[in-house]
Amino acid sequence: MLFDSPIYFLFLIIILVAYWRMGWRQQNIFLLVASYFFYGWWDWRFLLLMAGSTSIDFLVAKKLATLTSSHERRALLVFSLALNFTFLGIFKYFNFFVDSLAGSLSALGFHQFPLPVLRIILPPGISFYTFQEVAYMVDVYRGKIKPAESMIDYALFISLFPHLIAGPIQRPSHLLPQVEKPREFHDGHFFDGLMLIVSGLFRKCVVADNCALLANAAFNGTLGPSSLPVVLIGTYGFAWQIYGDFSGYSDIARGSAQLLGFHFMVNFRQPYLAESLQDFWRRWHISLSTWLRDYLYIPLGGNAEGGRRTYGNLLTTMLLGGLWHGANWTFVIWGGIHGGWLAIERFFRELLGRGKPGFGTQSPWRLPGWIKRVAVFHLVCFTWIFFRAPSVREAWHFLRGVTTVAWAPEYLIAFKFLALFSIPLLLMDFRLETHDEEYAFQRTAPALRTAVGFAAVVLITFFAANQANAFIYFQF
Amino acid sequence: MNRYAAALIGICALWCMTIETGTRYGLPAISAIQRRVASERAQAVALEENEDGATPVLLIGNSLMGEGVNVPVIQEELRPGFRVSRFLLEDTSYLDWYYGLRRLFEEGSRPKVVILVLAPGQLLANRVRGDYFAHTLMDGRDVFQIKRDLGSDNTAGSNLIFANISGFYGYRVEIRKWVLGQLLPDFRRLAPRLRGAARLGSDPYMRSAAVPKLQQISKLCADHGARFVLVVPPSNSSSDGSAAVQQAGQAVGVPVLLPFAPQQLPVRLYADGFHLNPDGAIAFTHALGPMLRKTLHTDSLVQQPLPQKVAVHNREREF
Repeated sequence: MLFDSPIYFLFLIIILVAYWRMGWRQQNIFLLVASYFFYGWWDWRFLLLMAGSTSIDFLVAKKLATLTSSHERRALLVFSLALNFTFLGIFKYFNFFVDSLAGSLSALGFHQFPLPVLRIILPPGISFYTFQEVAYMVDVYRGKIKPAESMIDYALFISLFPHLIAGPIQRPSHLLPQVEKPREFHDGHFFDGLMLIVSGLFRKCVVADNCALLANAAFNGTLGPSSLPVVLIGTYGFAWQIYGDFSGYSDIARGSAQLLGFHFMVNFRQPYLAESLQDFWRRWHISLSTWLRDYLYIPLGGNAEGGRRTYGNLLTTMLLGGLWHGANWTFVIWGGIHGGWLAIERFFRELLGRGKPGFGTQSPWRLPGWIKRVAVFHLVCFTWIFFRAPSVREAWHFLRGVTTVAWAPEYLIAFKFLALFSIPLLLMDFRLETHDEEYAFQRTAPALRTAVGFAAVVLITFFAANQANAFIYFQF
Repeated sequence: MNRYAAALIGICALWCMTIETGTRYGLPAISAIQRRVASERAQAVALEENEDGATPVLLIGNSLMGEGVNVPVIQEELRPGFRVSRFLLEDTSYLDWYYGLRRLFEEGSRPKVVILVLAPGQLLANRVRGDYFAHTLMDGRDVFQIKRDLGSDNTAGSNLIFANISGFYGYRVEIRKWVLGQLLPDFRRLAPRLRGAARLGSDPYMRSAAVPKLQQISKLCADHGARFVLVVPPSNSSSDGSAAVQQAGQAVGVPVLLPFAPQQLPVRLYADGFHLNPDGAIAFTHALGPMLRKTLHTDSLVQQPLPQKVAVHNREREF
């Protein structure tokens, strides 16, 4: 169920009404059944895959906790990780690697080499719940958490429906304890949950879906041949589409979880107000960036050895992070640009700030804050072209339009349309940044928050343009 | 529950009831388009043979039909043996009208001839006009079949059901367009560029794709005592797939009328390169009329022999 569809809210209402009438253990079983129903609604064929992988990891973690031999513990961890990534690899990356290999062989002159191709559908949410399972196994291995005692609790931790399809990726140390103990109904949190859902719907239905119209028209050529205005409209349009879409989804997920008494981690903190790319990655898809930091970057060595090793680790992490988003070279390039620029920033940060207090966290560029924000926003927008384009060739074709200056009166209308739907989100972000709030208007009087919430609902009523736009991150 | 949460839920519920009521009863009062659609729909449902014996003809299609077929002229061309009723819905394609006809027939519509005006790309498109289709044309019982035809998931199917039931959900896209039009008056100039372009395949592909659709809709009409005719409007594009669709019609015995070949009409007769202007509509309708008469004259469902015309420009109709 898409979070912006009527059927989801009907489902949520039914769940809530029943849920808060039950005791804690019943709630967990009930939510588990509901979550599997939610997943089956997408595609029932993959219920067995999720259940199977969940069961195996539960049993492996329990066994892992009983072993004392480091060799055996490592072997069991490797087995679990290999299994999880094999599932992910087969369903998501098999055909991509086969096609890439075929292309390489063809370039080398081997044209008649038969290679197997699997006709596989990507299971919804597999990238997200696989990362969650991996985090759990590694944390158990490191002794950071104890393995779940109850299969029901662990399965619920993996499959809890608000975060099942597209995150936020929850840390075991954050969500599992919430699953394993009773939740209390809290008036204020319930209200916050509602406000988060309204905020999410506004971001998705009003901002993202309207900006998507411009982005799609620009990238598929119906707005006009690729030229400077078309590139700007398409790129800015997609920048606000993906931000509104994913942050909106995250807000609805967090809000839904909050209504059930769970707290999900914040996933976005005004990313387009970042003053460096490092700052951007502390604000964008935080659940993924911190996962990559803790389970990939740091195990690779992080910045412990400094210099080229650190740059290499940054690049590797971001390349794999890009590949996680999809089986396409465009995502790898997207990740590579981010990794490369992070390395450059680190180099200049060390060069310009070595020996100075806080040099590791400050932006290396000594420029006014607003200039840094604009520069970082445009760097990120440049990378979005690769993220959005269906192929590398089409990305370059689109980009080449920058050298063509052409104009049509419709382009001015498009810019006005873009401004109409992106500026409200930008203003909301400025407010969140200035007031250091987790939710919009969090510290405002409840009566005013209610009025703002209702106003947002009215705007959603009139401006929702979600005829055919599924959440972008549902495809990952 | 927190009283502010209750207040928010209460106000939102009240708002939902207000907009639902307002859409159902207020929209037809303020929207000329909705009044026209409702009126034409009612006429289509009521279509049947009258005592005067004129064969009822249902003319359906999207804006290509609306801008391209002059109804008074086509009525004149087909008089006195035929009575033409038009049902126009913009931005519709084959599936909109296939399922729309199913519902019209179910509700009692009994035309003897159904004329569908669609461009080849619209005939082959696997799409519907979303929530608007669900509310205006779709019978709720067809939702599973529609879902299969569109290759949609369960959520999309549930959206169709909600739109079928709720007036607001069905018309929200139109309401949004109106609001946007007020905020950005020149938005209408941009809108056509935001629409995805239909991708036409090769002629063999289009021919093979058109055959089952022509058979399907022809059978639907025949099952309800009507003859089906597809009319392909003129196109300014050199390759619009019209020949392929015509060949598909010939292969399965479904009349596909092509009054003008691609690029046969001069550009000055188009309003925007796609729709005809009023002069273009006159020219097209005058060309279409005799083709229709000839096609329908061979139809066993036609009740009266068509009178011969002496001279069109003298407007003499019988002798």
